[in-house]
Amino acid sequence: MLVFAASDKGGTGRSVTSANVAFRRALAGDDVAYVDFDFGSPTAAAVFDVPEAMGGVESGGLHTYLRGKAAEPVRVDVWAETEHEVLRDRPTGAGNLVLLPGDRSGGEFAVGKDVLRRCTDLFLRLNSEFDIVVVDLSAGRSFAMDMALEVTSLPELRGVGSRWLVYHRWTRQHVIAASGLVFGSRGILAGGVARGHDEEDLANRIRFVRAAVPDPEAAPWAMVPPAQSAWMRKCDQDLNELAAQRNVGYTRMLGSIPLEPVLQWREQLITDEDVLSSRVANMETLQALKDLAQALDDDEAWGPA
Amino acid sequence: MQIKPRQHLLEVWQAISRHSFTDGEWEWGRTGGLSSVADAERLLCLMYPATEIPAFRLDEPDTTERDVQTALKNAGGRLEIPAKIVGILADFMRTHTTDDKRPSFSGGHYFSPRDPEHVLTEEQRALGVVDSFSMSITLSLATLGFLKVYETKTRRGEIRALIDELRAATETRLTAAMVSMLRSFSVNVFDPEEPQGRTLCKLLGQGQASDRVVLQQFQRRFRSLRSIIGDSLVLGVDVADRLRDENQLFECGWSWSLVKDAPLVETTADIGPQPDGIARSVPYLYFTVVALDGIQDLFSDRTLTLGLLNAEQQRLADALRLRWEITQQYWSGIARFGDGAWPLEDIPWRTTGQRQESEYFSLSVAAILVQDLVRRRATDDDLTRTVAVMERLAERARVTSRMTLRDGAVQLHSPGIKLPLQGSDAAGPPMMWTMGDFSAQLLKRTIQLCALSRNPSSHDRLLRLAEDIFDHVWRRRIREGEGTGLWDNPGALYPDTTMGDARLTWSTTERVTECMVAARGLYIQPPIRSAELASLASALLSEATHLLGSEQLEPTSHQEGSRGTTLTGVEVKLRRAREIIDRQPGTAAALTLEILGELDTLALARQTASRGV
Repeated sequence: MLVFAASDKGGTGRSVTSANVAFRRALAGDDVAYVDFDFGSPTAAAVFDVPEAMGGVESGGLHTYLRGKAAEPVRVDVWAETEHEVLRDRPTGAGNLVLLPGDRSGGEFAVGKDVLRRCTDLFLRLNSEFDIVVVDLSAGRSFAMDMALEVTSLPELRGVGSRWLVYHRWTRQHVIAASGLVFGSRGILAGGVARGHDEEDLANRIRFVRAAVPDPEAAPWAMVPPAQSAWMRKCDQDLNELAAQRNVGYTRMLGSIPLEPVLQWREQLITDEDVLSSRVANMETLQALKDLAQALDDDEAWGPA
Repeated sequence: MQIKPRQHLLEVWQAISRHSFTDGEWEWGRTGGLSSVADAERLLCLMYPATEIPAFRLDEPDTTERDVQTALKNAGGRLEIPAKIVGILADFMRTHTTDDKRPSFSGGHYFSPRDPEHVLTEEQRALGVVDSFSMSITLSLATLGFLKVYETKTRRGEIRALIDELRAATETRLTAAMVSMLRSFSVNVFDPEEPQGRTLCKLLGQGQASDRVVLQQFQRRFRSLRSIIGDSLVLGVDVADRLRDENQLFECGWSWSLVKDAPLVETTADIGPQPDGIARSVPYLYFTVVALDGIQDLFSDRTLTLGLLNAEQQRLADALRLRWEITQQYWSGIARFGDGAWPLEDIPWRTTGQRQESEYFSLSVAAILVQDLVRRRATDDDLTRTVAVMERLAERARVTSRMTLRDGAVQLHSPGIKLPLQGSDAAGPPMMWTMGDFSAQLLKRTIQLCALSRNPSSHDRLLRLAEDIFDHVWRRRIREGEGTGLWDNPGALYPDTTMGDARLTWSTTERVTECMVAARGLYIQPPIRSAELASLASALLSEATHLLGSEQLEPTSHQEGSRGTTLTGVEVKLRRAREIIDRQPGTAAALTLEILGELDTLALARQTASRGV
């Protein structure tokens, strides 16, 4: 299954959350590929702690492949290459976890016919080889996104399940932006329909993920002075209403990740050790990530609301 | 005990979801399907708050509040709840439809034989009852409003099909309930010499005026009402003739079921055959109050703004509204009849039709009066007298006082007041109706009256009374076994008496949720503004403004310094106090007092310094 991770703005925690989700699925035994289509600023390698691919590989990455300069893009086996001490011992029962990095000096580029063909080939190959293929797209409307919409509309990929996760932070501007990215006049839906997607079908393949959500009822926000707490709860209610109006409400939400210092400051994978032994991360965050990872192929969560 | 509508209602909802949902599936249980009244009451426990209180809405899964969702977690997740409700409502509509496709309003096990030896016939149990007509109106309107919002939120095919089926069934049920309500209305005319007439004269005269004087007063007071009834309602020839005779007394209201020989109501809607009536054409106080409560929902703001009625229903609603107005005016007039003591103040009330005496009937009359007061924006005097009646009822029913040995008030709570249903013997042994919800009704009317009163002293009296009654009601919840956390367990309060065991009673439970909805109405209106506080606050404010002005004549401090910060804080508070002084003079005064204290600290410091030189 192809999972496209999109967001309207940078800094929404798209890459770090997607990487965590990929990691969770691999731990659960699935073979997972993480394709870094964030051509502007490849960050996935940093999250997985793979030094060779930090900021993209020197050559032979996704750019090189799509331009036709290489027959295969470079693959990095995360379990083997990572410097993260916990990750280095691949847990028994875990599936493959492979990163496909971009090139260091890649940047965005125009989508031509050949590029589309290579991209289609790549997706088909990855899909037959892996259970879950996470494709991390650049923020906003990008060439990468157009390419993803174009490719998934082709007859070759009709049989391949594809799903879209749209990340946004829990603020007014982010909610509005995320809604615009999907439903706006130049949004994913409009772009998809222009490329031959069925509108309702595509809409059912898109879900929102809230990232860095402060929960006013949980620590530490429940401990702030009463006035601040009252203010936060009211804001939270207002945001929920706004989200509902903009079609970004619970009905279309797949997961909600709490505000978590480990994700916010270090942008790293959250391991069970972080929660259970060193306790730098919160249990709720781990649970939210697990739930989200599980929801990826939970058909009930993706059925019409 | 302080009434916290949101928290208490959530507790009730949680208890309901624990009781009614097993593994996320709704269970009708043993009594489900037996009585349309009980089932409607049970559903209204959820639907009524869900339609009346924005925070409790269930039709918009995106904005369902977290505490509400937690309370209902037994029922399922945020998205499942509305879909399940649609299923349950559709199930209700299907169950309470007869074989000939006619909505059924059966009283079922709420009817009991007057003689415990007898067994009621099937035909009798299937008889419609005004309680069910009224509940059906409220439930149908709640359902239609719910569907109106929810159908735009769901895209699931099977649910949409169910929604269409449910909407059709609900509209039919609503029309049928309104038609039945029209056919249960009764005007009873009697001679002052008949036993009924004598009872009424005694009631109205209060032992002060002779029957002849009372009759004269009655003629004068109800002359216009008499002619409105004669002119605008379709009555039997016999009744119409006698009503024109000014020497006859009359009363109007609702009987317990369709009145015998009630003419068919012509309607274009397809509601199946209209059954023959059986009830004697005599108004019952209890059923009149029930009917008035239901009819009221037909012309609420919500019904109008959401456009829930179609043209045919609107026509029926207008006919009902006329009867609603007439009945309310009539009973409000009877309750306050004469110049001296009100007949209502003579507790217990004696009914004319069934010639029974009970506090329950006093409460029923008070209930109509309260509604009438709410509508007319009553005078303070009327209100104060009604407050006293409420207090005495609570006292007499041993809600706010101790139960004595072999106390007669036990009857009110358990098993409840029994009403003979006149005319029911045409289909089998005579039947009766039991009313065991006195405390909950008393609470509801007290809260309604409290919301109406804008006079601090009577408001305060009513609030305290409401809290006392609520304390009593809350302690009557079932503690263990089936229906834990719901009602009714009268034995919990009066352990020494021979009260019945705890038994889940949907009628009481439903009344309590209504009370909570009414109690919310109490707190969403602005607090009563006290004139004394307002003048005190404005005097304080003027002093504070002056002192701040003089403080600002001193050399300017650096903005970030502590004196600068204090002065900025003072200005902000002063602005806030001025802003709210009209609405909340008490809060404004409190803010101003803080300002005065802070300013004085500075002034005192300077004074101390100058003394040192």
